[in-house]
Amino acid sequence: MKHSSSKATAEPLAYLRTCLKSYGVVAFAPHPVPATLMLLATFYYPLAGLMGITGNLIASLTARWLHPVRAVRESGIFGVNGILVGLALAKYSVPSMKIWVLLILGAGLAGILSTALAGYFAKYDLPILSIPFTAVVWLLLLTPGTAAGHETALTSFTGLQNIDLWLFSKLPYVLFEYLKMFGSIFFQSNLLSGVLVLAAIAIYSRISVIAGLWGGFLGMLVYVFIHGSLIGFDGLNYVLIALAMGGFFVVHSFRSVGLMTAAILMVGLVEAGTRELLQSSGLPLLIFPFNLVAILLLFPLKNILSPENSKRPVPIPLYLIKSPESNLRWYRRWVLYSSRQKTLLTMPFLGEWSVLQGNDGEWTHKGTGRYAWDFVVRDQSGSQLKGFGNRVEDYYAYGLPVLAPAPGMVFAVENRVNDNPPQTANTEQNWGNYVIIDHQNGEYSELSHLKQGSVVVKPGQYLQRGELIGYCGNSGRSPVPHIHYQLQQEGRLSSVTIPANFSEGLMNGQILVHFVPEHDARVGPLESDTLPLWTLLGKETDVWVYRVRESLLKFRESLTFSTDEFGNPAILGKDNRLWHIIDMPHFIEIRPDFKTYPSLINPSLWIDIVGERLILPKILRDGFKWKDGEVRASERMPGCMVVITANRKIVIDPSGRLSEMSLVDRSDKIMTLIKIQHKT
Amino acid sequence: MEKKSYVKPTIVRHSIGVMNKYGRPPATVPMSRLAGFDVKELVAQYGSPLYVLSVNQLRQQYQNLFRAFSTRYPGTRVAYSYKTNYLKAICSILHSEGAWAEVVSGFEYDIARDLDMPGDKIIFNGPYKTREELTRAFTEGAMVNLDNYDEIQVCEGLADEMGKKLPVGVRVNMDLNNPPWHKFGFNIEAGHAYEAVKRIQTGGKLDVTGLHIHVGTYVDDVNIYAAAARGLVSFYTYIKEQLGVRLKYWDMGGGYASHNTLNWAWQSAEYTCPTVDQYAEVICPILLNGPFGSGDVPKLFIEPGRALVDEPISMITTVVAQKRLPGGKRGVIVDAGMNVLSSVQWYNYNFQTVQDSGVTVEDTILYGGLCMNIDVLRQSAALPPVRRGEHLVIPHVGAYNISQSWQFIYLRPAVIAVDDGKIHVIKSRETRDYVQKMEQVPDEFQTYRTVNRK
Repeated sequence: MKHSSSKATAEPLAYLRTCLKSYGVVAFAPHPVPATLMLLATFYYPLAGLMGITGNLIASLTARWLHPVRAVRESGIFGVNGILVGLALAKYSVPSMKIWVLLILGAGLAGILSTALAGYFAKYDLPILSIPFTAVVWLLLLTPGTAAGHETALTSFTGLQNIDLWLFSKLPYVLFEYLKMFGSIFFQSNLLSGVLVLAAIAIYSRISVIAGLWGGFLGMLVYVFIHGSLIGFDGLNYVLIALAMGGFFVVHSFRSVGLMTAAILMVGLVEAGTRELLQSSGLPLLIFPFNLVAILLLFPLKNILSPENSKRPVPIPLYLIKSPESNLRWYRRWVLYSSRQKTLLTMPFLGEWSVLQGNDGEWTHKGTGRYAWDFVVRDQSGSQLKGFGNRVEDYYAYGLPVLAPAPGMVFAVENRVNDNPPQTANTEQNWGNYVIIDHQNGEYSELSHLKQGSVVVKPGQYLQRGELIGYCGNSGRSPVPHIHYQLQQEGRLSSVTIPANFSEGLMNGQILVHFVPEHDARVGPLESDTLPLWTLLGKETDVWVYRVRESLLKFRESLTFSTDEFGNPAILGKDNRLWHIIDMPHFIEIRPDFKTYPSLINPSLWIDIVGERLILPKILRDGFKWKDGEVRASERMPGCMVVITANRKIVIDPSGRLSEMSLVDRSDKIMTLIKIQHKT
Repeated sequence: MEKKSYVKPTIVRHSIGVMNKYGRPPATVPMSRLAGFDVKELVAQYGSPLYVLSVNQLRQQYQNLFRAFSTRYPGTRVAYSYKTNYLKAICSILHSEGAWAEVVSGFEYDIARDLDMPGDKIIFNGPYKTREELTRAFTEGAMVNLDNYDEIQVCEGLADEMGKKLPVGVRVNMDLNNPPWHKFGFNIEAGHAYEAVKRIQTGGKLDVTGLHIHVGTYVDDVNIYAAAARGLVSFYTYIKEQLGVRLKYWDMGGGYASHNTLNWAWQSAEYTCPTVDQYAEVICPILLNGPFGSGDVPKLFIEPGRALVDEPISMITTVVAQKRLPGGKRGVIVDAGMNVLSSVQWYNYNFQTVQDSGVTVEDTILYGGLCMNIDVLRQSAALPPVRRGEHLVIPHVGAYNISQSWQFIYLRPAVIAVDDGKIHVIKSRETRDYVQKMEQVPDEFQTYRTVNRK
């Protein structure tokens, strides 16, 4: 009962929220605060404001019934078309009972048309903008007896009108027109609405407000250039195209500024031409030029130009759009991720090996094959062999297990090439016995020179990370037993290699992440320490509360150590979750938007904490040196260990738990983090 | 010219080089230098007999063993079996290489702690652990492997006292060799091991997190390890299914052979002793087939002792006399007895001459210097002529001889470590004061002194 009643009130509330948001969406500021300001701006003329609200409610409701996708339904775009129908009718017709009926029908039609168009445009990831509105209002104005033939003189609150007139007498004409232009987005030709809308945009986004101001300024110039004066100028198309192209649909950049400027000029051209065309039928221009130019520009950007072409402005997938600033953040993250290799690699062997030949090696790793490694086993004196070295068995590496460096499907296998005697090479079958793994992300792993007959996998077989694929041998172009590894672009032999790094491992005794094994370095995998490590991190459903002090800022952060629905260990923060992936000794962060981010690059504080905790027990146990620090016993607190790195000081109490950590971030602010509570 | 001592002339058939019924022929090249030092000078400085440790070789033994296992099993730990030789210097060298400590008594546990090994790097085995020792081990986080029901009971009591569930390992055994090693832990084939694990899990006070098996000592047949590993895997699979046990480690124990020939062996250890790679090659793949995913691979512990310390230590002895036995066989007496070479019960040690004595060898019985008929160091060795005052070097004596030595009629020798051309005395030669330090003689027993003095 309780559940259903709360649901019953939740639905209308969501509907009203969407309706309010629609006001913001008109000026590309989908947020309740600017939306409220804009709603106020439409009430300069109370009747117009009322008609706007009516149109909004009806169009939103229609789309609510018709559109199947909740996220789209609640994006506010349907309400936009309703609002505009109401406002435009108020402006271009004489109010009467008939107009109200027409408004209700028209808004409903705008809702239906929006839904249909949204369905069609979704395929091309194009926004419907205010196309339905333009079509519907033209239709209504062509209905006999609707159009006033001129802008109607609506009555506003007397006080407001006086202020407007007073300001008109005080301000320079150009500035008055300039500010008024922003009100015309809502078909409000007055200064107060203009200032209010401009303020709302400014609150929402700095990029938008600057783009809008630039668009309006340039629009005025263009208009004066074409028409000779500012008479008849409303400018909303210029402002809207500037807002849309200045950072909302396209990532803000120098290139997008160029695109925006070009788009403004195009709007001027379209406006000049269509105005004359429409005047014969007595129709106003409305937002037609903006819609036409925006769609004409977005369509090729999203659907024709190659995304690999880095020179073009970058359009953003519609579902990600929030504000120009968030677009910019998304884009930076996207650049960071897409430039990385897609496969997370771990060492294809166990224990400590040496790099005989690294990237750009002196013998064979050249040209397109330069991103490859040859791994051998050496003893402490650097020798690869015991005995005389006349048999392959004398080499330490011979016969050692070779593992899959990442999950994937076995793509190709060779298993029949003889092992060469030491110091000879088979240049007929360069690659010897090999396994090629398709990681199913456009990247392939190639492992070579395996022992004859030792390959235990078959093409088509799916491999887990670290699964045995065969044993190290001396087949192919291999004078001494070794493993050749490369990440490559295609599944064939001698494919172009990809610059790659290993996600984690040891190099010369140091724990490293995302590192490239160097020539002569001693490298090895990190041990999979999942279980003991996890027990160290915390028992199930432990809650750790931290007090964080960051300069003047103080706040509490609580972490819950628990398991997810599938029984995987997970760490839950306020609105983030970390999942421990059994496949990788890494944590992956899942944010409320259900996209995953590897934790290693994430800046949020508590991931750092947990990230540190992941590595620490390993250091303490085996006396490893931290990448840029050391572990030593604490003098102040007996029994505690202290790890000091370049930007952190961490204290671990005798039970292995972190008890205190100071963080020093790049701006040299010191954060103190003290665990204050441990609730079970 | 020095006057030679008289030896009764005999006629001996010459035998050179080839293997004969007496075993391996002696090295034709005399061993005049040991770990880079002149044997005679070492004796002149540190006395005879003398144990000599080559530190480099000890480190290499460890690295070799660790490499062999760690390149085949993820998460390998080598725990040095203290009982083979718990001289603090030797343990320290191995710990600095990364070895953990495997101890079998409170005494050994104390040595490990004294060497600053943290509790969680100590494995506590052995059939006899006192309550106090167990308390300490659990408190300090050591891995305790249980051997019998009495111990289970004591540990459950401790768990009650400490108010928490204690992680334990269970020692198991199997019929692997003849005679079978049934002394340690619970037998798998008879169902005892399953019963014990079930008993522990249902008790709810302890949690089985490890399995331990020790297949024997000087096991040169790798198939025994293969069988043991298969046994562990199937046992783990069973207890995981039946009792929900999740292992954090399994321990293959020790027993890996060294290059010493057993008394009853037909062939020299040079041909029969497996390499560490051969042990690892059979053990690791079998264990990796165990019932676990890549996220919960149990750690693999191995507990070598002999395989680490036997070969790096040699003993220098000095010939004190030779005689002819009634059967015509030559007898040679050296200054070290079986009290400092207890492994002569197992091994046919190789006695190598230090000076060039020609290629002619003669079947010889080697006696120790103790006044006991049983003090025979080797029943039959092919030795070239040696004389009083000359030295014999016995390689590969590092395991057990020092920790099992007993003091008897002579003072026990010093142990020196040779490291990169530097000599360190790691145990001084015993003094009579040291030996009799714990003795007290009540005055009433010494009335004769006054009588004698008169």
